[in-house]
Order: sequence, then C-alpha cells, then structure tokens
Amino acid sequence: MNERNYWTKLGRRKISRRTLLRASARAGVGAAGLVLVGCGDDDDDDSGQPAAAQAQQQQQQQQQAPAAQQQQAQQEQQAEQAARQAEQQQQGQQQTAQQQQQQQQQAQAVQAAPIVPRGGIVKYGAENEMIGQSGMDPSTSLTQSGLWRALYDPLIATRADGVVDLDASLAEAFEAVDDTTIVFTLREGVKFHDGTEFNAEAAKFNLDRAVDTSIPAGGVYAAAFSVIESKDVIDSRTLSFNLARPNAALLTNLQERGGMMTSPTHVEATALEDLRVQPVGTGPYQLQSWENDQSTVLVPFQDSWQRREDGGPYALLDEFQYVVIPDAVVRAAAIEAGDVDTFVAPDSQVGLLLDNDDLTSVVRKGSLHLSWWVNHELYPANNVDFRRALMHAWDKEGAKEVFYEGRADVGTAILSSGSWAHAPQENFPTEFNMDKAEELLVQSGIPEEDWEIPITAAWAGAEPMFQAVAGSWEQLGVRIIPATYEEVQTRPWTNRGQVGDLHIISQGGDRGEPDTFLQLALTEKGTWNLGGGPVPEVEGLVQDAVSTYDTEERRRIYAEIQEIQADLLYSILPGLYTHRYFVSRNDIGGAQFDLNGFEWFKELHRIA
Amino acid sequence: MTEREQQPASMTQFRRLRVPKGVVIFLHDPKAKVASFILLVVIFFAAFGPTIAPFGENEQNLRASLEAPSWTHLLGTDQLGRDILTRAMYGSRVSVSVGLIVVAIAAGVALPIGLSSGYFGGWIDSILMRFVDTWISIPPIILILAIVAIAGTSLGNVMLAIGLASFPVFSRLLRALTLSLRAQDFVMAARSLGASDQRILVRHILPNTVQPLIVQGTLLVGVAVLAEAALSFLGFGAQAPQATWGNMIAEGFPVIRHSLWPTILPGVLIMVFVLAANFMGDRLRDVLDPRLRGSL
Amino acid sequence: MSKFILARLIQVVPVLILVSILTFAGLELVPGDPVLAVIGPAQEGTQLDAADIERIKEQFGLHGSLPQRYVRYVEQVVLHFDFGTSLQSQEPVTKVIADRLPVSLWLNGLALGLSVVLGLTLGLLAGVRPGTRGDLGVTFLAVIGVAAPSFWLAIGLIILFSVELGWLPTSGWVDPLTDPWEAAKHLAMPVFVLSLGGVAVIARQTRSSVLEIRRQDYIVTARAKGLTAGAVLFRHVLKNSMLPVVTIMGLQIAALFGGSVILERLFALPGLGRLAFDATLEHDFKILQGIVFLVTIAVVTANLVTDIVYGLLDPRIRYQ
Repeated sequence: MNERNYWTKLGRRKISRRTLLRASARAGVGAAGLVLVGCGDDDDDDSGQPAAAQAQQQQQQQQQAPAAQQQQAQQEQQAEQAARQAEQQQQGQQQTAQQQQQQQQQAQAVQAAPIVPRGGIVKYGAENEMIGQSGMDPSTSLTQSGLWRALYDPLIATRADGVVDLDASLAEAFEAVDDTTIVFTLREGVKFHDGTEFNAEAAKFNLDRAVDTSIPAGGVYAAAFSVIESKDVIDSRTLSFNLARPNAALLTNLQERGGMMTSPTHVEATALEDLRVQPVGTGPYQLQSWENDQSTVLVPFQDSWQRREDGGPYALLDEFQYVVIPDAVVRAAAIEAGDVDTFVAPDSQVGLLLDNDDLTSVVRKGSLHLSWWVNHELYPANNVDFRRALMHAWDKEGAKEVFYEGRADVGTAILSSGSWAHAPQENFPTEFNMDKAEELLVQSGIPEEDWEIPITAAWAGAEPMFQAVAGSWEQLGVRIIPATYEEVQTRPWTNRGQVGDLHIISQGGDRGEPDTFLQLALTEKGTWNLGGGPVPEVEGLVQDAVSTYDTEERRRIYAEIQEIQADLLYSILPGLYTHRYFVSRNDIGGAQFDLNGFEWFKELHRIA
Repeated sequence: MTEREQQPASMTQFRRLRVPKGVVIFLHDPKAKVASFILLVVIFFAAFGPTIAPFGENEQNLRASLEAPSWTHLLGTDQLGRDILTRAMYGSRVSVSVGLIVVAIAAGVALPIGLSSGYFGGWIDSILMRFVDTWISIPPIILILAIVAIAGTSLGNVMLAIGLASFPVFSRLLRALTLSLRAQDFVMAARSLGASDQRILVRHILPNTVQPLIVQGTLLVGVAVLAEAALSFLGFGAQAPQATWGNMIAEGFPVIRHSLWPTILPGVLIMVFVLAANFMGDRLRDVLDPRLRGSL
Repeated sequence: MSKFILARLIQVVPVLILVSILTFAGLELVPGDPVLAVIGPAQEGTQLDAADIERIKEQFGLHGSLPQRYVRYVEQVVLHFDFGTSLQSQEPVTKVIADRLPVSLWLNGLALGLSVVLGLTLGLLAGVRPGTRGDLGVTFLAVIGVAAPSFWLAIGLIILFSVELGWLPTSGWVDPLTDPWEAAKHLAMPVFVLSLGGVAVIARQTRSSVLEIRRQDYIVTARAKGLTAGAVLFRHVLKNSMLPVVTIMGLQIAALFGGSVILERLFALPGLGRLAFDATLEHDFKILQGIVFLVTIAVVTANLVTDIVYGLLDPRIRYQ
C-alpha cells in the first residue's frame, strides 16, 4: 500500500493536478473516502491480512483488476451463499463492474450500441414515510434514505461501490493546494429542478445552511463540518475550503445530506416547514407528488445534467413510486404478489424471499451491527468485568441462526465487518460461554443483589434480539429491568449533556466512514456514547485517525482503537454484523446499494 | 359490548334462585357448561401455571427455535425457543388479572356516578349523564391510545385506560338500577325511618346492584382481554419479555410464514376466553335477572 | 317531528362543551412541563433558555393561566376551526386530519354498510329458521366475528388472496372516486375484516328480533290474512327488526374507528386510525387532541342522525 500523504504526493506530480485528481479519485478511493491507491500489486498482502484489509483489497481489486479476477473475488466472498443466490449476486456485481469499466475506458464499446432501457413504473416498498417523517430538507433532516440520491446530487459523489465518482459529482474536480486547503471546481450548466442555475454561491449557501444551528432543528452537520474554517467563493465555478486541520472524513461526509445541494432561490422563497416536504435538487428525478404515509412519486427531471448514452435524461423510469407499507409481513407479501417491485427485505422475511424464484437479490454484508449500547457510567455496568461477563452470556451464534438463518457474522470488534477499517480482536468477548460469564461476574466483585440492568430495545425491530439477550442474561442471574419505548425517547438515553440511566439493544452502522461512527460512539460528547462518560484512552486516537490522509496510518490507528475498545468495552458492543438484502422482482434491473448501505435508485429500470 | 343471547323461553320462570339450585340451572345450558369449563381451566392455569409449567416463563433455547409440538414442548416453541404452553399459562395470569382489574376500575369509577345520578336525579343527573354520553362517544381504542400517550406505556396504564374507556356502560346500568330501586318499597321504608342518603345508597341500593354488575362485568372481561391483545400487538401493552397472549401474538407475527404455532395458541386462547366470558355473561343475565334483557 | 329534532339538537350542545374540556384537560394532564411535552420528540436535547420557553409557549398556546388557556383553545376551535399544529410535522392539525379523513370515511362507511347488509341477511336467515344448520352456521360465524383478533384474519386473507391466488392487492389505498374498480380491490379485504365485528353483532340482534317479532300478534294476524310468508317477512318482520339494528349502527361507528387502528396499519391505509397510532408513538398530543375531538363529534353526529332516523321509523320514540 502506498504510504505517502495523498495530497503531497499529488502535489509533486508534474502533470495537471486536476486531471490526475479526477482520474485517481475515480480509480482508487474506496470506502475509505481517501484511501488511495496506486497499489497494483495484489500479491504482496494476501497472507496475514485481517479480513477487513482483505475486504479493502477486494474493493481495490474490483476497481483495478480485470473482470475475471473480480469475479473470482466475488465468488470467494459469496462462497457461503446458496448457489443460485451467489449467481444472482455475481450478476449484480458484474453489471457494476461493467459499468465501471465503461466509465474507465470511456471510448471502448464494451456492450456494442447502448440500448437504454427506458420506461415503466417501479414501485419500492418502504417501511417508513420519509418526507412526512423527518423531511427532505438537507439542513434539518435526520434520516437518510435511498430517496436522497435520486433527488439530490452531492458536491462530491461516491458510486454505489464506494468509489469517489467525479462524473456524478457537482464538483467536476477538486484540488488540494496543501493539507488544509481544498479548491473545488464546479460543474457548469447544472440546473436545479426549479430551473435555476447551480454555482459556487449556491454551493456555499448550502454548506453554510448545513451547519446553521439558528435554523430550528437545523445544523445537523455542524459537528461533521466544524473542521471547515472558511468557505470562499473565488468565482462562479470555484469554491475553496480552508480546513482547521487535515480531515480524512470530509469527502465522505460531503456525499451525505450535508453536501447535497438544494436551490437557494427555492429556500429563500419557501417557509421552513414547507422546505421539508418540497425537495428541489439537481438529481435525475424530481418530486411529482407526495402523500403522507402513503406514497412519494418521482418523475424524471428532463434537464438533468447527467445524461445517458442516448442523450436523454439520466432517469430511466417514467415513474418511481416510494410506497409505504408499515408491516414487515405484509410488505414481504406485497413483493411476492407483485404489488411492489423492489425493497430492502425485513430481517424476519429474508429467508422466505431468497427461496422465491420470482425474486433476485443484491446483498450488502456487514454494514449494520446489532449491539448492546452500553452506558458505561451506570452502576454496575461501569465495571468492565461485569460488561464482559454479560457479553459472554449473549448467545450470538444462536441468535444468528434464529434471527438471520445464519446470514450474519458474530461481532469481533466495534467496527463492523463491512467497514474497511474493521480489525477483529482476540480479546473481544465474541464467544458464548456461560461458565466464563459467571466467573467474570464473580470476579467483578459486584454483590449478587446488584446484578441488574435497566435495558430495552431502542426500536421495534431490535425487540427480538433484546429478548434473546435479556433471556440469556436472566439465566446468568442478572435481573432485567425492561424500559418502555417512550422511556427510550424521554429518558436521557443518548448523551445530551446528562448521564443517562438506560442501556439499549439497537442497530447501528458505520456508514462507510469509520470516523463518522467513532465520533458518535467513542468520544465524550458523541450522542451514541450513552452515558456521556469520558473515554480518555481512545478519544485522542479517534481525532488522530481522521487528521491524516494516510490510509495505512488510519487503518493502523483504527486497529489500535479497536484493540483498546475490546479491552475496555466502551460504548457499543456488537453482537452481530448483519447484512442487508435489496430484493427485486426478476423484471427489475439496476438495484444496488450505495456507499452508506442505502438503496441506490438512480439505475433502476425495467428489463423488457 | 352489548351482545345479547336469545334466551330459551323455558328459562323465564326462574327468577330468584338459591345458589345451589342456581348453579344447576345455570349449567343447564350447554354453552354455559363449555364456558365454565374454559374459564375454570384458564383460572387454574393463572393460579397454578408457574407451579405446573414445564419450563420457565422466559427460559429460552435458541437451538430449539420454532419447533413444532413434541413431547418436550407440547405446543411447540416460539422464535426464541421458549415453550409456548408455558408462556400461554403465564399469559393467562395477565389476561385474568387484566379482566378483573379492568372491571374493578370501570365499576369503581361508575359506582359514584351511576348511583348519585340515579338517586339524586335533577341537575346532578343531567350533568353526569351528559358527561357519560360524551365519554361513550369517544371510540374506545382512540381513547385508550390517548390515555396511554399521556400516562405512558405499561400494563398498569393499559388496564387503567381500558377501565376508563369502559365505565360508561356501568354508569348507565347503575343509574337505571338506582332509578328503579329508589322507587321500591324497602327504600321508601328506610327513608321514612330517617335513614340518611348515604346509608340508603350503601346499605339498600348498592347490594341490589351487585348481580347485574356481575353480569355486565363478565361481558366486559372479554372486551378487556381483546383490547389488551390489540394494544400489545400495536406495542403499547405489557413490556417484553413478559408473556401475555397479546405479546405472544405480536412476537409470533413476524415469523407467521415460518411457523403458525407461536400465534395459533394465544390466538385461539383469546378467542375461546372471550367467547367463554360472553357466554357466561349472557347466561348469568338470563339466570340472575331476566328483566335486564334489552334494557341496556 | 321538527320539535323532536330540535330537542335532540339542543342536547348535543353540552356534549360539545364537555368534549372541549376533556380534550383540553388531556394535554394539561401530560406529566411534566407541557413545554417539554410539546417540543419533546422534535427538538429534544436543544438547550432552552427562558426566552425560548416563552416563545414556544406562545407558539403552541401554552401561555397564561389555565382558564385563559381553555378560553383561547375554545376560541381557536370554534371561531377558526383551528386545533393548532402537529408537534411532529408542524403542519396544521386540521389539515393533517382532513387528509386522512376520506380514507377513514370510506373504510368505515363501507364496513358499516357491509355489516348491515350481511348482518341483516344472515340474521334474517337464522331467525326465520331457528335451530337449523344455517342458523347454527350464522351463530358460529357471529361468534368468530366477535372474538377473533382481526390482525389474525387479516394476514390469513392477505396470504390466501394476494400471495397464493393473486386476486387482490396486498395493501394500499386508491381513492374510489378516481378508480372505483381498483379501489374496490384494494378495500375488499380491510372492509371485510373490519365489518366482521358488526356483522356478528347485527346478525345476533336481528335474529333475536325476528324470533321475537314472529311471535307477536300482528304477524300472526298478517299470516291469518293470507299474506305470503315472503310478504310478511319483508313488510312486517324486516321493518320492525330494523329498529334495534339502527341503534346498534350508532354504537358500531365508534367501534369501527377502534378496529381500524390495527387494520389501517396492516393494510397500509393512511387513515385516522394509523394517524392516531403514529401520534401515540410520537407523543404528538396535538394530533391526538384533534382526533379525539373530531371523531367524537363525528360519532355524536352519527348518533344524532341515528336517533332521528329511529324517530322516523318508530313514532313512539318521539314522545318519550
């Protein structure tokens, strides 16, 4: 792997930096955001590499190795999958690989004349209302979903496979003048859905709004973007960032809601509460209609700046419908009956759907983890032996079979297996061992009458796992004080400047960028550090890891953080890493996951 | 709430009966036999469930998930490998206590309202009855949801909410009874002897309302159990991992396509229990006080 | 007759006043600071100073003493038909409810209609030939309808008719005014399941009324006059057994709204039941307040209409 600093290395090159940046970003940046890079030799790190590194390597192979090799890598990855499913999987990936190659070797006619599969309606079955619930105003929304990338484009985009994709970004290039100055060159001729022009002023307007805490419930990205000291408009196509210190997570954060661009004209003319329900972006689709708790209908934006090979707008469908069906069983029945065409399968229904010959699926592995979110300030769980005992009393293998029919991995570190920085730890309490648990419980020195723990499932979907955990802890002799859903809401369960009094079982994700996740989990102020207790051993390291652009250095620091966390068991203790299945009916193509594990709607089309 | 059962004509001749003979008469109806048997079984499970249950309430075995009935697990296991029969027995405790407590709450709220409304009449009656009319117009589930939203989710609050949502029927019943009792000779006699209102209400009127209240209460038990199941299914009932019939259905529902066992037993139990309560109520009404038929 | 209607209308006034007090008191009963209850889910964690709290109180009408707040609440409701804004989505409560109302009206209206038609038919069939197998069947059905948990039936129907047979769509809402055929297919299962409780109650009621009426003198007379069994059934029995059914219909309306909470969630119908469920989950007290108020008024109105219809059907009622 390349050891040198990304920016300086680029700075030394003689050729046009812009061209290089563009090319290299496309070629190499994986889930790491700025992981680069030129390591064409795959053979030197096959042995002794942790799984995460291999995953990372796979990703790079995907980007650089010939297609045959990719296929092989894919096959290995999918070995445990049922044959049919693996095949489908492979097809899905193959398709991605082909697209990628098309883009890399732009001129080559890989697929003969491009036949663009236009037309038709695709219905997506969703559990939750998106627009009506948290809104789709980038400055106030707390939830991301696949809908975002259909309606908005970010300043810096990543492709579904995690590669920074300047071809899909509103910045057509970016340039690092030094470690703390980045200059973005913006695309010309980009129009918002309301017909107004996108330019550097608009970009600055949006980035300012993303951190504006004076907007009620706004400033969602204030923390993530706090590293940007100033944003300067140089001319209508050029925007410059001045950073307080190097920040390797910035580009990945820019591809999220905080970096998504909405029309300033629209924002200024519209009341805040209406902005939530009237998204106006530059994306391939635009909002046609929305009915709360029912459906959201998107239609192609004819003036989209991204074009297809036939010169037409980027959106392939005549209409995309996002249909809300709250109940998991009914939602699964709906795709079987053909009432919806595609959706992310609810965990409880995956097995059933994979057995259905009318359906195809694409999987994203290990992107989420089901964990005990520990409040390590709360007696008796403030005792590390007590925490370790409880982790050993959690039958993860059993839960994996029962809830996921084996389609999950047992947790081995705080960063999940889908993350490029995942480093499995020997000392992590992975094993289910009641004897060891009892031993540790005694060793903790906590008197038996205090063996109790207030805990609940943070949301209905985590309820079965909560019960499984509670059940085995009760067998250990630990009393469970279950809390209610609204206690989760009203009691200070997240760190809001007060010490909480609850633990929860919940699902989370590292969203592609380890820093985003670790800032929330392993810092004193992080909202996922339930007790808000100090984490002195790792907090500094979390900051160090994001302050360098050297991927290997970052990986090393993240491994160290995971090692320390495995000893001290702070914050989030993963039981299982889970997979997400994007299931479609066989006549639907283009279903993929994006970097964050959200559904990627931009390529959806009907197969004739 | 107001299902009425056609009463065989031959029954009208029995008005007030001594207890032993009453029981015999009561059981004369085959439906009453079945209902009593079901209720006795459920009450037996509620009382002795923990003693006779083959497993612990939350004793799980993830390696025995969703098993079909066997000699070890007579009615199969749920997703967590817990014994369904055992949990159903524990659940019957909740259902029985929900039934009883809800009736107690409803009757407790209704007593002062119904008695004073019927006894004093006039403006007190008008105000109280308008209040009851209003209350009865609020759809029960929505009223219960509102109460739960205010008071918070817990089994206790759910019982309170169901009780509060169902008291108007009791109030109307009590008012009607008090009105007719007030005009009866023995109340007149007591009053002429100088008994206070309070004494008349407590000593003379109240005891005579007990039988109809029992009838109405039995019918309410069924309603309460169904309401608890519905609320648990929606996630507002007793907190997991407590075993209640409603929780069992809610937990079994996501895996209903994999195994029917986790939902069948609690579903059937709810149905059978509610039916038994209804049959029981109908029959009690026929036997205890045939005059009440159709007066509610 | 008009006197009777007027008297009945006047009785509604105190009910309305009471509804307003009850719904107002509900929000006041929320434990803790009402400001916290109001901002609760939306902006939890934001640091509030005294000025913020005053501003929020103003915004949600929480400033002033208890009677002042009540008067303001009633003023808003009566004069402007304004129930405030949703704590969650910040939309006006009346708008949120108005959006959902058509769904609930169709669902509950059709279910009520179906339960009357099915209930009367089955009740008549059973009542005319008591003790036969048909009668037993009806009784059995009635029993199931009352006691079976509706979500159980719902999922069974979905798997049978949507997944296995492919006849009906699993879920979703189509406005009957825009596409009646699609709407009929979408509503078939939810309406059927929702109506079962009503079918059961009405069938039992009709059956016993028929049994009772058949023993009455005027039926015997009508028979004796030589009228055919059919004519007797329709001209006398049916008309007279309608009376208790009308009463039950009034009661059923409240029950239907209850049943639709679960079914709207399962069948993904965006009606008031689902709104109430979501509002409870999110502690959106303003929405709950609005729903309780409006639904209660709807039920009161329905009862009023029922009473008037009753008065038309049965002249004795008017002079009570």
